[in-house]
Amino acid sequence: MRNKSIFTVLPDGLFFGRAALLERIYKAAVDLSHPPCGIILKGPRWIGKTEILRRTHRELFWGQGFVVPLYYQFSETSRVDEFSGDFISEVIKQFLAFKRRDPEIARGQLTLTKLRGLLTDEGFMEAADLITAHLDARAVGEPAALLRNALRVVEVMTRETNSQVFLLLDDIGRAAAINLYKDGPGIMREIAAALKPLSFAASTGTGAISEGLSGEVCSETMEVSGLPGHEARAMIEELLRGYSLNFETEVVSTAAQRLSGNPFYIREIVRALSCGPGDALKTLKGFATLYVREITTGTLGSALGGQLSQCGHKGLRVLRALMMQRGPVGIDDLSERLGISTADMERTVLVLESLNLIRVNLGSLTCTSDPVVRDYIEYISNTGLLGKGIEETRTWMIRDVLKAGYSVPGRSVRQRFRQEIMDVIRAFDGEEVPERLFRVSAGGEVLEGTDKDSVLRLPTVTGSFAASAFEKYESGLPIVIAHGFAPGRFDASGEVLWLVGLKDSQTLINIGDVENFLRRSRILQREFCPARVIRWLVGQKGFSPEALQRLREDGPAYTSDAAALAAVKKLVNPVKDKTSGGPEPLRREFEMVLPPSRNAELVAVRGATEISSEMGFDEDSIGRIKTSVVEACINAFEHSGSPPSKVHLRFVADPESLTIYVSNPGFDFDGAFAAAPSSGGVDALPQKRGWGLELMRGLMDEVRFESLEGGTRLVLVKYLNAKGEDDDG
Amino acid sequence: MTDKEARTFTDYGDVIVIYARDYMNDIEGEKLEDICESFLKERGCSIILDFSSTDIINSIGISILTGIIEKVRGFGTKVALSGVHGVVYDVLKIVGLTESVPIYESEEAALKAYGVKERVIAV
Repeated sequence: MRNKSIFTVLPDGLFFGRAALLERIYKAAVDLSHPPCGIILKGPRWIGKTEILRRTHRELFWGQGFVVPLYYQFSETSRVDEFSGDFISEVIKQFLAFKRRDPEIARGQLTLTKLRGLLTDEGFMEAADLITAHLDARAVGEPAALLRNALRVVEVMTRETNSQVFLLLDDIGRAAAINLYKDGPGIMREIAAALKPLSFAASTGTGAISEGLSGEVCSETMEVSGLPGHEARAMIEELLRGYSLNFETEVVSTAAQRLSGNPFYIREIVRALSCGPGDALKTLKGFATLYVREITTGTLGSALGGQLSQCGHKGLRVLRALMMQRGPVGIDDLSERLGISTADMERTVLVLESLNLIRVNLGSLTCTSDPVVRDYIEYISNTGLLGKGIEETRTWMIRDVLKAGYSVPGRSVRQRFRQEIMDVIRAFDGEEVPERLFRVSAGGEVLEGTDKDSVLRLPTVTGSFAASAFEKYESGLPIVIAHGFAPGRFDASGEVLWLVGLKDSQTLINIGDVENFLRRSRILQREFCPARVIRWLVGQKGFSPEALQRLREDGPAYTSDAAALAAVKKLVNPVKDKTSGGPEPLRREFEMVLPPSRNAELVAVRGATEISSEMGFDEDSIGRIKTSVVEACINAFEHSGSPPSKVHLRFVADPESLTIYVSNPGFDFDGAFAAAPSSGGVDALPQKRGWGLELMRGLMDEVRFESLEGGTRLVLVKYLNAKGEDDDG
Repeated sequence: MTDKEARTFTDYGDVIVIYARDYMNDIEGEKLEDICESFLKERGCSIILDFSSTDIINSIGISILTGIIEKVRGFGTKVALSGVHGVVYDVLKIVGLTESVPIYESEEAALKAYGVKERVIAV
């Protein structure tokens, strides 16, 4: 029975994430120790606000017996008589349904007269009288009385039944369109006044409504956005498995990102997959083609079209203009640029804001549409406003999706290249290497004037790190910083700083890359003030002649390509170079979802054992990984709410390390590890509880928490060659 | 399954050796605790907890193990651990139990230290 909902909700198998938010609202509803306060859920359409409110209603209806949950979804009516009759009817039905534990009463189509009879039978005379007053007001057409009676019904029922209530008001912004009199103001002010003594959760798509409400009543606004990346990926994968469809993890990551983690978009895309090319998520092109087809002529496109139909021609032009701007644009500027009159612009802005497509702030507009809506606007603008052909537009859109998609896996490749350079340079220890490896132009050619027999004495490097921490807002090639000493000179005068710029793409390092590198190098140099600076640029494919010329003009700098780097790597660190003579080991990922059942952590242990054995970890390290995985899992379960929910694990096996990500559906469990326990000393016994984090820290090389939307992810890292061993070796 | 894995405990009269299984968690810990408690109440004998079959111990297992040691000491009798190896030893070291309770390499070494020569009952 508990699974039965009075209001339609998605099957549990199609609902993902949001556990923290649901828990938060539920707790706010049943916590009677605080004065009444509200939660305003603000988020774009289709993001799942209605589902959150209805699921909360279901939990409150079946999960406890002292707070009456009342769910009301505002309709698109502008008539106060329709609203007031509907509201009175819904509130009374839900009160009676809760009191009798009979959801059928709330589902039934009972007239107000019939409800009055039921109330009289129950002895709720004041409520019965309220219905009589409402019917009288309706008969004489008195809108103020109708509204007053409607907004009193919660108070009356609460008093008569001696109950507490929790209101769940869906699409509360629609109240702004309900008018007491023709062209009069909406009833938001009256609604806000009625909410003051009550606890509630309300959903809205627009910032203006949430700001207006929070100014009137005690409330907290919570943004509801797309599911965080890992939850969106998990949702896509689980839905695909449900349809027995194949997929590639990288393509799923791209899809999750493109769909902004929006559950509605995700369900629609997977549904389209199930009806069409089932293996579309095996390749990026497959996804790009399906996605573009769906938002142009598919169900998703129809839904978007329905939503955006209210924008009109002018609205589309405004949106497109805003999409092309990175920052806010003044309303007056935009009116002038687009040739839209001030009055028309005001109307357009109101509509776009009500659809949560733009944000209005101090006379400026910013586009807040998600990438899917932007793609759809781009499509209809191209085919409608600009008169381009459908196929042509689709072709360009598919190209854009492909380009964006490749940048997702590209990030890990770039990080791997950077890590490789950091490892190589960290191994420098006064070796002598051929200078030609540091004087490369393009295509493996060595710069003119390089003596083929001359050697370069490398410094003794003490450490290397990414420069990103020192140049947060910089873009361009990643730079690695290495600090060390000239061989045998371990004093201030021997200090040397290597600044290494890297380009991990199939194009040559060009003059723009060089300019960017030189400028940033100068800034970084000032930061560290070393005795000597060495600049080294490494490009996979080498350098353009103009880039080399520019570099020469600025002073000495080393230049290498990927082949030269590989040669240096062999010379400085032949033992560590496990990849020589064969293909580079690939990064592999394994995912696992554990149900909340007894000893489920042992399933993760088996997975961890298999993966770490195959990676070449020794028995001791495998034991440490297993114990840490157990610890992480039991804590993730323990802090996943009540009842416990699933725990998600992701194992990432790199050539150098195993990284294990452990998360539950959005609950913080870093708090579980707040204080380190004491071990007690000789003969005294250690503290009994709270050893989880200490154990993991003692057994793994890195343990950290990463903040996610609405929760925390625990990250465990074990290196194949522990850092200490590297340093020694 | 080895002989030790099949057994729950071995009764040496004044000393009881209790064998933990491969995964020392809440269930296993409570089981050990129950056996300990019954022997302590019945005889007030010394306890050796043997971990030679144990590959994993979690923080709840640690918590219960600490409780068992506390309880045995409360009865004024001796307690020791034996056969602790690999990551289980690492865990005990991290929490400081290697400093506060005698740990012997094997059951035999622990029995020798307790002056036990022959087995009485095997269960």
